[in-house]
Amino acid sequence: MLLRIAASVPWMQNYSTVSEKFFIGVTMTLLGLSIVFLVLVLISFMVSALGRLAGGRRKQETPPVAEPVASVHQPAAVTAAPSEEPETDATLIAVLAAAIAAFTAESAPRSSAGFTIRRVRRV
Amino acid sequence: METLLTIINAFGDTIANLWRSSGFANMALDSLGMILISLVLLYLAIVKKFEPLLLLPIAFGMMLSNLPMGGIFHMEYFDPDYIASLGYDKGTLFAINEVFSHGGLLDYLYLGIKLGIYPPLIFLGIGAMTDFGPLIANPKSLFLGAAAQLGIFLAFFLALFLGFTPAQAGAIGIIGGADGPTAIFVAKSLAPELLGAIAVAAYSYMALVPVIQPPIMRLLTTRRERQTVMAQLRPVSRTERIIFPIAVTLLVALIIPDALTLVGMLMLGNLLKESGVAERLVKTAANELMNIVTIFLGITVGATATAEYFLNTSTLLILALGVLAFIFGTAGGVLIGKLMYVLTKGKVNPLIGSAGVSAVPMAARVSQKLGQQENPANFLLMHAMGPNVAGVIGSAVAAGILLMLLK
Repeated sequence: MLLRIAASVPWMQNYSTVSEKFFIGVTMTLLGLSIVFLVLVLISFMVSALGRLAGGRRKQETPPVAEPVASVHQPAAVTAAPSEEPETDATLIAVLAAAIAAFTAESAPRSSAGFTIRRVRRV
Repeated sequence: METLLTIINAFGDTIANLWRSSGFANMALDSLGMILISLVLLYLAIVKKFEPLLLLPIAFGMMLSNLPMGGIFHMEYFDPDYIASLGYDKGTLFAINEVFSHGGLLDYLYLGIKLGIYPPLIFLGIGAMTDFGPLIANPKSLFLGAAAQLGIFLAFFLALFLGFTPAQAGAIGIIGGADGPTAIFVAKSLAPELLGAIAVAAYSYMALVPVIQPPIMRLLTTRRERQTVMAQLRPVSRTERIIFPIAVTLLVALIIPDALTLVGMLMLGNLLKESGVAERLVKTAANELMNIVTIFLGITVGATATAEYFLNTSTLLILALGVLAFIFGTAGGVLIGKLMYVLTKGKVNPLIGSAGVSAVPMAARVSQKLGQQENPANFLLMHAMGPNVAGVIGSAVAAGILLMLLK
């Protein structure tokens, strides 16, 4: 709208004298640069907002993902794991579960919830 | 005996006619000069590898249209004064009857430029190849992309004082956007008579970015600033990547309708890519279509550089203003980069500012190279890609503004 008005004003009809050229040059530079800035700053705000909406969801999700997975699956893992030393294995499995959860959360945040440690074998 | 003489005469006449209609007899000195220039450009494209994909067809087109008697291209059919002298209405884009009755191959192909078809199609391909991820991860890059458009407007300012009309000055200024298709898109509307010189300047300087930019970047930054290591960018989700092109199109088009064509096609290409559901179209837009259009664009832009329109002082002035526009643009980006360095307390390396002049990905590579020279552990490439792709949007927006105000 603003631009349409600016475009319709005949400020660029005369450009013969130095002062007219100076006027056109300065007006154009200020007007042009400020509109470019305005548009790109608006896009910048929009992208930030987008980041908060679409990217921010991920941030809230990530920390809770790691812990519940480890604690939820730990009992299942303990019962499933055939072991000579149940206590050490429980700690080991908890550590492994947390590590896997953290790792999968990093690479694919939304698919990390559904895994169970059924067996831990020493290699 | 008489018959023999007649035969000899007829033979002589034919040879004379052949000679008269040959290129040799009709070669003007200035056309010869243009052919020599085209040979130099061919050398730069083939041996020095200056943007060869564009400069080679441009140089060859230049050679073709300057060869006499070939009739492959008639620049005058697109000259507003000539069109008016034929009695067409004011504002007619080209001498319609002449093109369709006497036109050569390049006259027809040039319609793709005159009607504004090729540059947006190239933008479609660029969009399909561009990753806006670094920009989405760091939206502040857009400030740098805007600052680097400074060159456009300062070159406009200088061009006015050198005697160009405001429309011509706008077309010359856009060289500072460091974006070939954008420069052609603006020049064909604002100053078609300068198109050849503007395109040659824009593409040559884009190739010279690694030569033009580093001295300015070093001059404006301190060693400590150049050594700044930037934190890794956050990952960007697919949702963000898909929403981005749609939202930018809506926003830009509503504010500056004249930027709609370029930005719209750029973002369509990008949406095709990011949506992940149109792989065949992405492949076509980024490869086959882009290559075909590049050939047409290059050869016809080169053809506009005929002796009559190219060999004059304006061309030299345009070349000089073009390099100044690049320098100012680089300086604008680096200075805002410095400001961001201060405001973020040393978290932004000002070297990425120079990448705000589009010239993707050359300008970003220059930032990377300079950063690494100062500090081998510095990886600025992805950080510089943000301002770099922001520069593409910025110069398209600036083009829209110039078109809106000067057309």
